[in-house]
This record gives sequence, structure tokens and C-alpha cells, in this order.
Amino acid sequence: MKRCLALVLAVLMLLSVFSIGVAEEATGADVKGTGVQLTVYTNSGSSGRKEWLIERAAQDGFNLAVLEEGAGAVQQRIIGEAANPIADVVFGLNAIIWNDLISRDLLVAYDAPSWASEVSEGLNDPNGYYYAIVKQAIVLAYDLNQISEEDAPKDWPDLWTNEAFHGKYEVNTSLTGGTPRNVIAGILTRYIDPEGELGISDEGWEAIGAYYACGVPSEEGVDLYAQIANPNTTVVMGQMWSSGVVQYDEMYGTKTGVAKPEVGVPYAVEGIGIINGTKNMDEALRFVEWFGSAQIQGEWAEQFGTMPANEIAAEKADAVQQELCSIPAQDIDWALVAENIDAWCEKIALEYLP
Amino acid sequence: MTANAPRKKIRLTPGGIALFIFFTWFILACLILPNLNLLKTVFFADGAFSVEPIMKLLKSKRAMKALGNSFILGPTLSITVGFVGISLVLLTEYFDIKGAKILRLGYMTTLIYGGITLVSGYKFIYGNGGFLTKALLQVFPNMNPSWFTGYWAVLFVMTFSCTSNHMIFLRNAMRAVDFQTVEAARNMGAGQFYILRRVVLPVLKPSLFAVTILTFITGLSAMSAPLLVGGTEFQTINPMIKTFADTTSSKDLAALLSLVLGLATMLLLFVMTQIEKRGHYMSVSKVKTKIIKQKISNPVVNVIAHIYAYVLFVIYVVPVVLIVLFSFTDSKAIGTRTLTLSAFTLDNYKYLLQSVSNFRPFLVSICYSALAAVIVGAIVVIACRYIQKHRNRLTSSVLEYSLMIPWLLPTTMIALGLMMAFNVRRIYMFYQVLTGTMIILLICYVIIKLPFTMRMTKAAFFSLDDALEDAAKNLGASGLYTFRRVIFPVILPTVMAIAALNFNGLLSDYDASAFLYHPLNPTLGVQIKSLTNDMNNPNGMALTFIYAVLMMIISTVVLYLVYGRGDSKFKE
Amino acid sequence: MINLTDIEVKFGDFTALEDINIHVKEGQFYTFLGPSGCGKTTTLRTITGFITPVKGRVVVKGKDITDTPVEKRNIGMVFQNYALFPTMSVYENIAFGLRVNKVEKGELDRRVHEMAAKVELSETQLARKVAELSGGQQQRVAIARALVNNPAIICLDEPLSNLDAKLRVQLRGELKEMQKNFGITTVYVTHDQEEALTLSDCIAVFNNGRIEQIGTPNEIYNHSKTEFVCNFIGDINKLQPALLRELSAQTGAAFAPDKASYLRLERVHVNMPATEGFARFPAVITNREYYGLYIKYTLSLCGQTIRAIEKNDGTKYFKAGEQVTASIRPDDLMVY
Repeated sequence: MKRCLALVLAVLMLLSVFSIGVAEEATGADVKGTGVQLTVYTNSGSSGRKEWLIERAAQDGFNLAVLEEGAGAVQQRIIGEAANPIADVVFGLNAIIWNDLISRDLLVAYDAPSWASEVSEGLNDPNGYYYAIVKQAIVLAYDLNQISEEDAPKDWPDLWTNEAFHGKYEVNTSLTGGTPRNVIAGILTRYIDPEGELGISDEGWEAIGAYYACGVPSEEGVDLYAQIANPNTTVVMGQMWSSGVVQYDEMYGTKTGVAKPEVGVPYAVEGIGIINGTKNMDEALRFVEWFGSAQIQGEWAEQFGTMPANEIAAEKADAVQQELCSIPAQDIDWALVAENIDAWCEKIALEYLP
Repeated sequence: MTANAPRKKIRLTPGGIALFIFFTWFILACLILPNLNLLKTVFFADGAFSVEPIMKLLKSKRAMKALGNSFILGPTLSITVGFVGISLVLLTEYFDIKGAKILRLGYMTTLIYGGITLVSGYKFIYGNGGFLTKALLQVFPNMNPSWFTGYWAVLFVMTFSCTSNHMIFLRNAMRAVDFQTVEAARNMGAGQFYILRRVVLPVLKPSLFAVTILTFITGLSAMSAPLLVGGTEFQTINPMIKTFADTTSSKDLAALLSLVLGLATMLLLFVMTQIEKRGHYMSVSKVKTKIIKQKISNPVVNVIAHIYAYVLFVIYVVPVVLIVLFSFTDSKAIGTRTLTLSAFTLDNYKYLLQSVSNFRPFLVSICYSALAAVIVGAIVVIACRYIQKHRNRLTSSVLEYSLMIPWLLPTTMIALGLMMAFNVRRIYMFYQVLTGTMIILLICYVIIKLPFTMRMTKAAFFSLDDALEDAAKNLGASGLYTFRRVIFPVILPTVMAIAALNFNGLLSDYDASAFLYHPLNPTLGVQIKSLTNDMNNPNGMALTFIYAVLMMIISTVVLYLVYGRGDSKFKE
Repeated sequence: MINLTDIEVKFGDFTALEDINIHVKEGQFYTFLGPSGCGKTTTLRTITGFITPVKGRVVVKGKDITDTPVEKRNIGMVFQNYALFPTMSVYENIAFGLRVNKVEKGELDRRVHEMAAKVELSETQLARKVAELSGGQQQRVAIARALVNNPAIICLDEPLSNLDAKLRVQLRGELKEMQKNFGITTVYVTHDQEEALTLSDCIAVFNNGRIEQIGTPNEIYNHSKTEFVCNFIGDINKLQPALLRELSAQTGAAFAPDKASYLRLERVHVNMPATEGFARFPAVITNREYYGLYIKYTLSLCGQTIRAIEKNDGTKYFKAGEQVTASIRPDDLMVY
């Protein structure tokens, strides 16, 4: 037993040695880091992003510790650590969470980085708490192999108003994920009524109820495209984020078409912000300047198929992304959504989920 | 005559005082204050208590139905798991079944995997597009391809996946049965099944009781099976709790619902403790004889028993085999449950081997889980020792029920409670801020494993023969020496088995890790979750299978080291 | 050697022992005898220290040990179920007490082997797990373990109770032999009167948490102080008033017919020639039990049943239905 313990301790020590990164001098963007360690939280660190970022930043003198988690968990952590923040910088997330963090006074407003003016109109926070780096259209995707563009729904309400689509689309029953919340926001904000329950008219609640009632609930551990590709299920469409389309089509042999509603689609805007209470403000500002630059965002887009919010870097994104992100953005009051989305989701969980 | 010795005066030794201080601190600082703090922020968000969450839940048909379903699942699962669990023990330890050793390995597969992975394994067979379903569709083309859904599907999956405790604790009890009693009964003309019913099973009763309660609790807090095969008509309460616990403003609902489950659990435990106090069966003979496996005398019954044994074996083993096979395929094959030769690929494994960062979570989780399993084992053993020595004292009950507190709240909320409590300097944590350190996750792991460890370890302590301790004392041994040399070795196999179960359980923990892990050292659960959540990696689903397979391997190794070997070492 | 004075033990509200006064002399084989639940084991556990009395003192060799913890007393004990440590070998079981006392290694090994030899445990048996031993072997391990620390006193709690009859008699012999060889003061608890009578130098008979009588086996058997003792020890006849009156009439002794009067089986003599001091009664043999060593007859006389024992020495042999005379000496009666 003692020997076991000793072994465990030894391994733990080894691990801590491991984690001291080696900073190398290399060429890149104009800004350089000083080597002060920055703790960065993000929900956008998988598929090798985190490793790429640490290495790429090291080349320009930044020493990063990156924590990667689901968007909700990142949000919870920042809230929980409010009294004693661990993170310096957070990037990724979406407008709903950004606005929640702002309302809880967990971010600091900072002077616009030099690249802020290159970002598409309306994506940056007007008060300077976060600036956009990546945009992601949340779309209603369908498989063109199974349904033609003419027969496919044109907008979300078609799903429940047109009986032909009943049982044909998947509804995501996870209410904590970013994508389903954007979908919910996209639907409910069409029915804003200050007199209604939780600021939504009865009609709106009926609509969301019908949306869940007429869909096929998602299955834990099985993604939408697996359901679409499975000949034994009736599912041919569901919610999707733009940057995933290409890879999913490749893997499942599907051919994705998307609904292009007149009102536009919700955009999940990934931004970058600085945590209120950081002890490394200067370095954090340098990192923001560096990471959002057209150069780095362009590399990021090439590497991971994202759609940069930075219009100069946007040229580096692939054609499909460009096209998907050409759908206009739905006009959504994100502050209002941020304030109410938890309550909306709670009501949905209690009353409308199948 | 030896029971109920008159109360001795408490002797104050430095060690005793130190332990008293430690436990008082531990219970207050780690179990009570953080959770109270959390409940306060949850229920008294606006400074005053509100009954609104209760009304919300009462109004919600969905919540009420889910709660009802949980309370249906608990008792029915106790019965079905009890039946299968007893069958497993009898088939491997009592009756003479050909190939019992292999059968046993098959029946023990539930010890190495669980949760989503396990249920996925079952879906590969029975689910829509699964192997059995496809075969059945050939025969009955009109049947519903999604037949494996709802209450019966949940019950089926859980019946076979919740027998781990039976295979460990009930099997141990079976091995301790004094075979002379069986022979005596036979000598008096009792038939095989009469002996089983009247002689053998009553001896197993205390263990059976303990594992049945645990099964009941498992049923109440079912998560993966309802999520994956419950369909719309049979959802239980725990997934709902999880959803609410993950949403900032809905935590009051989560806390309320889990308090309902927690109180039901506590009530069960209380009843169990009372029954336990009434005494238990212990072998009184001086010379025990080891069980000789019984050949079933009725040839027809014998054949049926063999068929039954092997059908169970297939039910247990095929999901594991399929998970291993599917780990060599891509997400598409997994999602559509089609196993074709062309889908086989080594890419998943290559991806994993490519980068050290893919392995690091394994190391982190192994270290955390091992440390936590050892620490929780130590705390509980010391606590049980105290409770055993001072059975009727109030402090014993306080200690016992305090260590059960973590059963009252979902893991997510315990983790949040810790995070919120220790991100400021608290006097009861020696003015140390713990958030952002490596240690807070360890504390959380220890806390969430306390109740189960407590429950099972206590049972081991209570089946000890008091005379052993008297004998050691009589020979001049101090309390500590007696404990170290006599008591501990006797309970060690059980303690190790529990530690192994805890280790395996913590290895893939996500709920606690998510909020508490150190930025530089993500745990395995976090890593797996990030793969499944990965928006841009359609193959994330397949990668999770690789992790599952690797975890099965680790779990198997641990079980072999700790339990398999210990088994033969302490064989009586 | 051991002095128990005014011991009182309570379990909650229940008084388990009251007014216990016992004096055990050095080297004595002292037995606590009584039915189950009478307090004999409780008294033993008070001596070893598992139970602290609410009243009274336990003094050993002039030293008051009432409040001395168990582990400091060095009083050997053999448990009813032996309580051998299941995870240790026979060797380790015996060595346990020595290790506790930090006996140096070579010395420890020597003493374990010496003790094993004394109780006739072989080298191979020493290496075994205790569970692999037979009942008799286990008992010897238990005794060796209790004696290895050279205690001044050894306490045995019904060590023979769940062994078969033959083994019991054999081990009884061995036990007595060992006690003689070691010369150790022994306190022995049993409910078996035969064991008590054959082994003991002195017996204390317990009933309902009190001592009924203390004395040598002969005193206990032939001069039972209480009705309980004479009933508990050995077989006995209770005499009915009719017989008592007849006895008084024949011998001139004044037996009160309403008093409980008892007569041991071997004090009823069948067809004995008329002897001074004996009363004679005509009787009929109603039953005969053949034991080999002796024969037990059931007689009918004065309207009651009397049992008698005759040595199977070939001089007498009666059949059921035979007319005989029974001789009884008034001095042999125990009256309460």
C-alpha cells in the first residue's frame, strides 16, 4: 500500500514537471508576449485547438495554461470563482453567456484592440466587454439525399405548422448546450411580449411546445448526423452549427442543405474577454491583441475550418463556411435572452420536453 | 452474554483527541458548511425562503411523472436485480455448473464498465438497428424497430448491469457459508432446493439486504439507462436533476428534487440500520467446511440451469465484445449500429497515440482516483472502527449519518458547493483558497465516495467476531495494535474490493471534475466529455469508445490486482 | 491469588451479578459452574477485564486491578470459539502475545516452538492456517496462545462445549494434565457438572447472578448447600411425604414431611442385607437401564418412583417386576 502511494505521488510530481511549457522564439503576429503565465478558459479547445494554440502562442512569447470545457461549465466556473478569479482571459462562448457574465460584473471593459474595426458590424459588444473572433451560424440542416430543397422547411416554424415534417426532425433535449439554447432563443424571441409569462406571449409558448412535441428527441451519445444517416430512423433534419457541416458530410456521406429563413438565423458569436480581477492585465491585453489579429484568426480558420468574425481573416475560411455565414443574422436582443434563457429553459424542462 | 458491556468511561488519549478534532473539522468544513452555504444561495436567493420551486415542481406533469417513475424503478429493480444477482452467485459458487470459472468472468464484466458506454453496448444488440432487432425483423417484418424502449427496456438493461455488488459482496457471503450446515440439512432429509431456501439463503440475508438497498438507491437515481432507452414514456428524475443543476438559476429545483431522493435514501438506510441492529447470523461452528459445489440432482433442472447460466453469460458478455469491436470503427458505424468489415479502422487508436496530451488525462485520473480511494477508505475505516466500538453512543450515530450526507445532494451540486465555499478564505479551511488548486477535486472525490464506502465497510465490521478483539486485548495488545494486526487484516479484502470499485467509479467522473479540475490537469471524464461535445470532430463519438475500452482495461487490471489476487490470498 | 469482593455487574437496568465473593488460591483449578445465563462467564470476563463491575474489587496477587485495562492484566484466556485470528498462521497466532510484548526475535521463536511442543503441535501444523486445523488442534492453539506469555492465571470459557463427546473427554484429560504440569492457576467456566467434578479443586456454583455454593467437588456433590445445587449436580431422587413418614417411623429420625428432601441414586441400596442405621422398604423393579459400568433401576416404593444405581459387579442382576427391598440411610438425605 505504501509503495502504491509513493508511486502515485511520484507520478503526480512528474506531471507537474511536464506542465512547465517551453517557450520558443518564433515569428508570427506583431504583438509578442512577455512569458508571464496567462490562464485562458475556453469552450473552443477541442480537436487539437488547445494544443495548437498553446504551441502557436509560445512561438510568439506567450505562456498559456488553457482550460477547455463545455460553454456552460466555463460559465459556471467563472461565476463560482468570482471571489478569487483563476482565469485571466476567456474566449469562445456565445452572446447569451457573454451577456450573463457582463450582468454579473465578471468581465472588464477594455479599449478596443486594433483589429476590432475589422470585425463585421454588430458582433462586438458595444460597451467593450468582449470583441468577436469567430462567428457560427446556427442553422436548420437537412440531408439533401433524403429531402429536396423545395420540400424542405424554409424556417423553424414550418417544422410544427407543416405536418409533413412531424417526426422528421430531431429536437435536442439537452437544455444546457449552447446550440439548443440559441435555437430556443431564435424561436422564442419572435414572440416577445412584456405582458406574457417570462416575457413571452402565450402564442410563443404554444409554438415552443409544438416544436418539442412534433420532433424526435435526441439520443444521448448519438449525434444528429448519425440519426440522419441511420436508415432505421425517420430523422432527416435538425439543428446544426455551420462549422460542423463539412466534416459531418464527409463522415456520414450526407449532403447538407440548410433553411434560409427571411428573418435570418441566430449567430453564436465567439468572442474574447478579460476576467474582472485578473492580475495580469497587461499581458492579457497583449494576448487579446495577438489572438484576434487577422493573421492568427486566419491561421485558426485554415487550421480548424472556422468562420472568422474578422473580415480580413474571413477570406481564409472555406467556401462552404463563407456561404453558410452569408445568411443574415436574426435580430435578437441578446441581453434580454441572457437575462431570461435560464428561466425559459427551466419552463421547457418542466413542461414541454417530451 | 458478551453483548452490551457496560459503558466504559471515555479515555482521552492524544490520538483520540486528534481524531475527534479531525472528524469534527472534516464533517463541518467539507460536508456541512459548503452544502449549507450552497443551499442557502439556492433557496434564499432573494434573502427569504420561497415555496415557488415546490409549486413549480408540483405543477409540472413531467417532473411528477419522472419522480413517480423513479419510485417505480427502485422497488422493481430491487426484485429483478435480486433475482438475477442471487442466480449469478448460486451458479458460480453453489451449484456445480460446467465452466463456472468462465461464467464468473462474464458475470463480472459489469465491474469494468458502466454508464453511457454500457447502455450503448446493449443498444447495439436490442436497439433500433441492433443485431437482435435486425434478426427479429427478418422473422416479424411488421414489428416496431424501436421496440427496445420504455420501462421494460430500462428495467432489462439495469437488471443486468446492477449486479456488481452482488458479484462482490453476496459472493463473499456465500463463500463464508458453513458447508456443514448444508450437510446437516441433507442428512435430515432435506431436498436441494429446500436446503437452499431454508439453510443457505437465510445466512446470506444480511448481505442480500445490504445489496438490495444499494440496488434500490441505484434504481431511484438511474441516469444512463432512462436517457438512452427510456424513450419519451419512461424518464426518471435524475437526468432532470442534472439539467437543473447545470443551469444557474434552476439550482433550487435540482436541490429540491435531489433532497426528495436523498431523504428516501436516508429513510431506507435508517430502516436498514435498525434491522441490522437486531442482530445477524454468524457461523457458530468452530470448524467450518468450505462449500463443495452441489450437483443439481434433477437432470431436467440441471439442463435448464445450464441453459439459464449460459444465456445470462451471453447477455452479459456480448455488449462488452461489441463495444470493443465498435471502438475500431467510426462514428457513423456506431451511430447507425452497423458493423461492416470496411468500417474497421485503426485511426481512432492512432489518433490517441499521436499525442501525449491524450494520455495525460489517464495519468491524472488514475492518480486522483487512487488517492481518493485510499483516503476515503482510511477515513471510513477509522470511522467504522469508532462506531463499532461505541455502538450505542450518540457520537456514533452522528458520525455515521454525517458521512452519509453526500447521498442527499447530486454530485454536481456538491462540487459547486465546494467551489463556492472555498474560493474565499474561510477560517475553517485555514484561510486557504482552494479553487484553482489540485486539492479541491481530490476533496470532492473523497466526499462523493463516502456514503457507499461507509455502507459497505460498516457491514464488514459488523460481521466481525467480537471474540477476536477480546482475544488480542487479552494477550496484551493495545487497541491500535489489535486493530492493525487483527481486525484490519480480516476486513482488508472487503476494504480493498470497495477501494477498487471506488477507483473504477472515479476514473471517468465528469460531474465533479467539470467544475473543479485544475486547468493544467484535465481528468479523463472531462477529456471524454470534450470529445463528445466537440462540434467540429464528427468522430468524437467513436473516440469515446476508445477511451471506454482503455478504461475497461485499467479497471480490469485494478480489479485483478486488488480483488482477484486478494481473493485467493484470503481464501479460507 | 484472585480475590473478588462484593462484585456487582449491571447491563443497563439488568443486574447480571450481585454479591460475588470468590477467593482462588495459587495453583488451584477453580471452576465456575451453572446453567447458561447464570453469570459465570460474566464473572470470568470481570476477572479478565472485559467487564468493569459497578461495585466491588478485583484483586490479583494483592494488587487491585479493578480498573486496569484488559491488555495490562496478563491473564491468559481461552475463548469459547477460540477466537483464533483467521488471517494468521498457527505460528503467528501463538507468537501474537510475544510480538505485542516486543520479545526479541530469537527468543520469540524459541518460545513459540517450546509452547507448540508442550501442546503437541507439529512443525507443519505451525505453518498452517488456523482454518485448516481440526477442533482439537484449534483448542491446543488457543491454549498455547493463552499460555505463551507465561500468565499467572489462565481463564477458560467453556472450551470444550462444542466438541464431540469422545474428544471432549480426551481433551479434558489433556487439559488437566497440562494444568498440573504448568502449575498454573486456572479459572474454568462450564455448564457440564461432570467436567466440573473431575477437573476442579474448587467449584463455585452460580445461579441467577449469585453464587449458590463454593466448595470442593465432594462438598458440592455430597453436601449441596441449596436445593438448586443438589438438583443441578448429578442425578437425584426427591422423596415424597409418604416415604419420609415411613422413614421417620422406622428409624426414629424426625423428618418433616413438608420439607424438600433429596437422596442421591447411589445411596439407595437394592437387596442389601439388613444393616444398622438403614431403613428397609419393600419395592418392585419397574425398569432397568443397562450402562455397562453400572445399572440404573427404577423402583416403585411407598407409592413413588425411586431410582437406584448398582455397580455391575456380577453379584446382583434384577429383572423388571421382581420384588426387592430398598435400604436407605437417613444420614444420606439432604433436606432443605
